[in-house]
Order: sequence, then C-alpha cells, then structure tokens
Amino acid sequence: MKRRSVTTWILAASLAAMTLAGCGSSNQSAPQQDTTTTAASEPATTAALETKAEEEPSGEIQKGGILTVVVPSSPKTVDPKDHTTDYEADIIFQVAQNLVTYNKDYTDIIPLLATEWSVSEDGKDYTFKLRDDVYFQPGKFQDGRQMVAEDVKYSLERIYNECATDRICREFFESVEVVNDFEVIIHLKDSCGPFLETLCDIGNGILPKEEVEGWGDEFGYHLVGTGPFMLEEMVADERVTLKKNPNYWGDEPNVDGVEVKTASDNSQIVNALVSDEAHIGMYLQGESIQRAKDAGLLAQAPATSVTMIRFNMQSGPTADPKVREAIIKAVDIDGMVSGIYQYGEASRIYQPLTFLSWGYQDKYDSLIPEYDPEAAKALLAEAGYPDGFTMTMYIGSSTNREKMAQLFQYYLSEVGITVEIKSSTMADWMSAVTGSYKDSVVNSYGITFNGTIDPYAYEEKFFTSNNIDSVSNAGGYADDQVDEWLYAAYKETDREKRTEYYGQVMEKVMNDNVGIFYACEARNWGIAPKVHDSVVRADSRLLICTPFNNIWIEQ
Amino acid sequence: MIPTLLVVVSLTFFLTRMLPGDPALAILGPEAEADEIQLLRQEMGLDKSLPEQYFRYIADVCRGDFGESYSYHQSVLSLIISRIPNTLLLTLTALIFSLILGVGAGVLAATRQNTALDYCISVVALLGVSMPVFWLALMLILQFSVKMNLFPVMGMGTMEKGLGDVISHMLLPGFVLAVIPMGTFARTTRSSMIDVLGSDSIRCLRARGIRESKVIWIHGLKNALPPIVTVFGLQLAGTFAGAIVTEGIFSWPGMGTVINTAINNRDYSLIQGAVLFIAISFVFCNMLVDIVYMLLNPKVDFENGGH
Repeated sequence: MKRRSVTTWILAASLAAMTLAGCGSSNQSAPQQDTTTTAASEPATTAALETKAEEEPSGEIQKGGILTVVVPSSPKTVDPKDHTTDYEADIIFQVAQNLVTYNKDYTDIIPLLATEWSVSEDGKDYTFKLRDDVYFQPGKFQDGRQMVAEDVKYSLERIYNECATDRICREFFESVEVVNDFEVIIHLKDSCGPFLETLCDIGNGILPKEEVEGWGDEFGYHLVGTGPFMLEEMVADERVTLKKNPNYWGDEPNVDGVEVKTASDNSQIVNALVSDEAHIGMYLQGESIQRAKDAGLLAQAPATSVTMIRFNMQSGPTADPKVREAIIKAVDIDGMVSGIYQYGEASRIYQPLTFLSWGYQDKYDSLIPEYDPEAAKALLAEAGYPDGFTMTMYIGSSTNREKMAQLFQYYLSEVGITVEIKSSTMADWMSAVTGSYKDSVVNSYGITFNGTIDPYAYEEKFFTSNNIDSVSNAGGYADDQVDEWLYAAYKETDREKRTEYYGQVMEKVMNDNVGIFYACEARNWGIAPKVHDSVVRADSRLLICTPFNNIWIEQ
Repeated sequence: MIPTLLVVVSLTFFLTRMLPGDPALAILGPEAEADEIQLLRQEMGLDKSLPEQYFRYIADVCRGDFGESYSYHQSVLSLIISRIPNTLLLTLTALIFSLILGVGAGVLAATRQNTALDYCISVVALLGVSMPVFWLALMLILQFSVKMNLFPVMGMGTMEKGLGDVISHMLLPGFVLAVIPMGTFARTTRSSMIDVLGSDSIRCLRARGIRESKVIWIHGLKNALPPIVTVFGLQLAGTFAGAIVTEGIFSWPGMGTVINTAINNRDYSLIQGAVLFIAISFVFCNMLVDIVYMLLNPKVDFENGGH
C-alpha cells in the first residue's frame, strides 16, 4: 500500500496548508515591528504630518546598492511627450533633465542644465546659458556626445509641436533661437507669467535627436537623457530598472541603480516595505498610511493640491448665491476634515490655492461664512426653501471622498437639505461632471486638484470661463471681471503684481461662495529606516540624486 | 465557432461603449482642459459615429489588426501575446497541482466513506470552494511573507536570478489560485467515485481477485473521470477569471493585470482584444474537453450498456 501512504502524505500537507490559511485570520492586524510607534491621531494640521526628511544620516555615507521603489501603477511609456501619470514622470525625472527645476522645498526654481537665465524687459525673450560639461547617456544611436543648444531647441519645439497636452504655454510659445552651442533664447509671442515654471515640467526634458528619431515609437521604452540614471529595462506591469550613469555631470549617485516595482493593491506596498523587499513605497492611501505609521516607516509632506466641494453655479438651487452661502454655513468644516482624515493625512485649508504657493495670502481665509446652522436655515428660508430641497453630490469613489460625502450629507440634513450621493469610478465621474453646469443634474461635486506653486495652476483652472467645459471648472463659474484679472495675471511676469491680481480673484470668488475648499491632502510615503537623505516634497516627485539630495542605503 | 466569436466581438464593442466614462478624460485626468481632450478624442477616432467605429473595428479584426492600446502605447496583439505565457505559467501550474491533490483527496474520501478522514476532506474541500480568493491571498501574504519572510510579497521572478526565484514568487499566488479548483475536484471526484465503486463492474473486478489498489486507482478512477474532465474544463476558465483578482493582488504581470488596467483606463481596444482572447480560449477549452470526453466516453457507455 505504498501508493496510499504517498497520497495520504500529500493530503495531510494540503490539509495543513489550508488550516494555516484559515488561521491567518487571527493574525489580521498589522505586523509587529521593532521600531517604536509614532504618536497617533493628532489633529489634522500640518504639524501632525510625519516628516522624515529632518532625520540626520547616522555615520558615513555608504555607496552602492539598488534602491527599490514601489508605486501603485506601472509606468507604461517614459517618452516625455507621451507620459500621462506621475509614476511615469518619476522615471523620466531620473533619466532626462530640464533647463531649470524646483528646489528642495518646492518654493523656488533653481538651475539644472542651464547655469543662469535672464528675461527681456517686455517678458518675451528668455535667454539661457547652458552648462558646457553635460553629456548624453550613451545609447544605440549616439555614443554619449555633448549636449548643446541645438538639443534644447529640438526638445522644446518637439513638445510644442507634438505633445497632446499643453506643457509649454502653447499659446505663447513661439520658437527657440540658438545663439551658440551654450546659449539659447526662447521667444514668446507675448509675456507669460507661468512660463519659467512650465519649463520645470518633466515633459520639457532635453533629449538627443538621434535617439528620439532612431527609436521612433519605441523611444518610450528607450529613453536617453542627461540624468544621473540610465534606463536599463522597462517591462510594463513588471519592473523598470535604472542604472547609474557613469558620465553624469553632477555628483555621482550614491546608489548603483534603481528598481521600480508595481503593486496595484495599496496594502501590498506596505507589506513589501515591512518584509524588506522595498526601500521606498510611494502614494500610500487610507489604512496603509496607518500601517506604515505603526511600522515607523511613514514620511509625509503637505501636497500642492486643493481638495474641494464645488457647486453648480448656473443651474439648480445652488445657482442662488444665498443657497450656496447657506450650504457653507451648514457645514462644520473643521469637524468634517478631522472626520475624513483619521490618520492625519491632510491639513485644513480655506482657499482654492495651496498654502505653499508664493501667491497665498492668509487674509482671505476669513472670507468663508462661519459655521452657523441656524443662520443657514434662515438664509434658506429667505431664498425660498424654508423646507429645504434635495440635491446631488457627485464623487469619484475613494475612501476620502466617500467619507466627505457622508459628512456633507449629515451636516446638510441638519438644515433640511437632502443630499443624494452619486459615487462612481473616476472615469465615470469625470464624464458626469464635465459640462454639468448646463443642467441641474449635478448640484455639487468633490475632487482633489494637483497643481504647482503658481496660483495660475489653481485660480486660472478653476475660475476662467474658458474652462467651463473642462473638469476643472465644471461648476461653470463665469465672471468677466475675474476673466480679465486672470488674463492680466497670466501675462504679467512680476510676481508681486501677479499676487495682487490673483488676490483680487480670490476675494471675488470667496465672496461668491463657489465651493468649500477644505483640505490639502498629504503625500504619504513609506521609507525604510536604512534609506538616508530622502526627500518627500509637495509634488511627490521621486528625488534620488538631485542638486540638493543624494539617497544612500545603509548596507 | 466564427458566429460565436462575432457575437462576442460585437457585444464587447457595444458594452465597452456603454460603459460610462470617456477614455480621453480617463487618460488625461481631471487637470486636462477641454481642447486637449477634444484633440485626443479625434486622435483616438472617438469623434466618429458609433456604426462607423464598429465596422472599422470589425474590418480591422478580420485583417488581424486588434488596434493599439493607448494605456500601454503598444499594439493589443503583441501585448496579449507577451502576457499569455505569464498567466498560463501561473494558472496551469495551479490547476495541475490542484487536480492531483484534489482528485487524490476525493478518491481517498470515497474509499473511506463516512469515516473521520472523509468528513475532514469534505469540510476542507467545502472551505476551499467557499474561500474568498482576495482574503486568502492577503492572509497568506501577512503570514508567510510579512511575518515569516519566507516568500516574496509580490511580482514575478526572473530566470536570471535562478529557478528558485521563479518558484518562490509563484508559490503563494499559485496556491491561492489552486484552492478553489482543489476543493471542487475533491468534491466531484468523491461523488463520482462513490457511484463508480458501487457499480457492478467494480464488484466484478473485485470478484476476479484483482488487487484493491488497482481496482480503485486504475479501473475505478478511469470510470469516474468524465465528470472530472468536465469540471476541469470549467475550472480552466474559472481559474483564468480568478487570475484577474489574484494577479492584481500579487502584481503578477499577466492577462489579469492587463484587463484591470484596460478597464480602469477605458482602453476600448484592449478590453475588446482581451475579451476576444478569453472567448477564443473558452471555445478552445470546450473543444478540448469534448475531445477528451469522446476518448473516454465510448468505453463507459459500452460497459454500462453491457450490464
């Protein structure tokens, strides 16, 4: 009966395995870690964010090792022209470089491939002097030749002519003039305030023409640039590997290479960190944030973003300014924010502008109608709704948005308004909301918008009448005076004057009660303790080897 | 076969179009402006009328052109072809593993009917069949990868790092995928074997003094096979569907991950291509089952008819 004994053994093994699987349930809680737990559930303010960047490296910098990074979605193409996601931009950022880039704190612009620049009086000509020690990474179609002005012209004009999205202020961009090998002048049709910031967009990285044209459609998997890391291999949904560029003009990277893996399930990112399979996990959400915190891995930074509720400005009950004011008065915004962000992963905001922007003026914070349900009821009665009404709230389904909608529903029910929550996928949400000002189906909606530090990226997007058919101004805010200010601010190059224009816009839209701008959601990363000199910046860019940091791994 | 596939192609075409959500918006994200979205819609041919898009698509498919996946920036055909081996590696291994274990357990249970072992196997099989795959996966990861650090949390190994790397990456997702079919195989085999072992032909064999192990494992199992084969065919398809969830959790770069991405990004041509591919493999599986069935069936019929 030998055969039977073998089968019995196999059976016993499978039984054991299944029982173990069943037992797993009792161990559902977060894994135990040696590291101490950080203070939990503080109020949702900036101060509560976990900032790891402060941490000083212990001992000597150690060279070598492969930095493993996990992101929630796989990079598909890393051609600066075609990329659409942050995950792709993070790869491009390691390989290709711009003339200028943001500084460590994301407050200003610093030179990268350019050494200095100047702007003409009329704001139409930007002259850039280039570094003369920059060489491309060797590729299939060139052997690592020097980067010259002609490459800047080629790369910027390529983005201008071929990119599906506008990455270079297309309406204003005219041409690039090559003065000599290390000097270019960018000509604009008219002065343009946000232009210099636009040049920091990773789409405007400088590329060698031979490689772009040699690879053709496949350049998206064979990106070549001047950056600290070279693209070694890119397999969608599997991994992207980068290796150190031996001819890099800047400081030699401390790590030998980078491997980027994908985990679509957010809890898996933390699992990979805890089990030592990854060094950095980016874009953590919900419960994963708490798990990373418990394991002592969490690093946060306030994002340059605005999370908001917008009202339909043209149709339905919210077209009445009194109703909008009543709705805002009915909501205890502080209570809502601490209810939504239980893990302290956001800060309270007041205006449709990130507080990290140079254009932010806190004097407008007080323009929000104060929480006062009784006054809200009175206003509703005045507006002709003594018994309230029923309205819709459209959200793209995510934990944060659903919690917001439920709290919003609760607060409004207190003043007699019934809120119907319509939750769908992001793609459905976008088509439902776009152009929704035209009828009374979508009365309000919730969304997070990411921007830069230029107020243009918020106020222009949210409030210009040109954008009423885009998602960004789907509520349909249209005001001639605001349009005028926005255009003036766009054309102005002086920051102080621009701040003034944007301030005027802010005052107007705040008084018009266009929405509830309630939170700045944090960037949440998990970083292993052996990773040093990492920076979590407001834009969540993966910063490995830059003019201001150089990650190293404790061996 | 051709009409079936035509129906599938047409259905998926119109169903994907009925999905709410605009692909151009899905790609460009909420920050995009109206004119950018319009431009992309034109580029993708979405501004054309639905019938025109449909006939164009059918014509393209007939020429073997499944279009371009705009979320992957790659042709749909080459994308699917590059992913099939990864999914097959996982699903077939899981299925074969579960077939051997499941059938073994089923036979054991049948021969020891109404004993403690039988009850044990039945309970475990029932658990296996009803286990939510994603829950099991997460529990296994927490236990074996995070706590005990035995297996990698996610991804697929590469041969460059050796066979061990490939196997260690495969064990957890493979086991998760194997659990449901294992239970099903055990239950089917048990009931089928009980029928067969009670039949006259088996009594006859026993009467002729043939060794019991031979009676059970060779003659008995052979006669009990047809329902198992049918279930195998169904499970082949089922495992494939299960792979969509399992691959998602383990970040396994197979068809499941591709389908997830395609649906989330409203990548019409990729959804259509992937569904068509699944339809073809279903048709193919069914054909295979029919053939195997035909090979097994005549004998069963003959013996039953003979008595």
